[in-house]
Amino acid sequence: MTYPQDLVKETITAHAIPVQIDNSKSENYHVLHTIHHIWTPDIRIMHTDGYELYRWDGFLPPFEYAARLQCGFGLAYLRLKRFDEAERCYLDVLHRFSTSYAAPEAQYYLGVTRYRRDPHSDELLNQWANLRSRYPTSEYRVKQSFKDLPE
Amino acid sequence: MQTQSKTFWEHDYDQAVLERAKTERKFVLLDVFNPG
Repeated sequence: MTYPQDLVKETITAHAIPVQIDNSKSENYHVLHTIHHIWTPDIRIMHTDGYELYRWDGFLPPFEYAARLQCGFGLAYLRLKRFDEAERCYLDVLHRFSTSYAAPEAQYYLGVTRYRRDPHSDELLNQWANLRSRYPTSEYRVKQSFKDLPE
Repeated sequence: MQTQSKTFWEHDYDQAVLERAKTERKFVLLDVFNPG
């Protein structure tokens, strides 16, 4: 089970109000139609204006779930230009969940976060160099590959 | 299959939840599950 793990619950409550929706109940059909639900588990990070900021489908065990969730909160903060909070989420993923499937995403977006906070810094290239060396076979390395990096 | 906690989860994605999230400067995490 994913949710009884304190690791996951603490990650959730630090950043969100958790709402669980049973897709077998007819009273929930309107909400499910609104969010174009198709598969379970279906995880959405929603802004208070109703817009979806991050999502994924499918089971993840607690370690991977917590890492993915923290990455999700990172991107949610980033999209709201709450750069310091985004940075903390990504650093946490890289510190506690460096072997997770979400870690390359965190490494990629840590660079994006720092660059967007200060476009004059070298942090985009610095963090993408870390991505190249730490997660060379990741999809996020491919996403970074358009940009030449210093050796 | 995931277990519902009676004390941890809200069960209505409604204006009250959105207002509470806004007050606390938090997001809303939706978890859509199937009990079967």
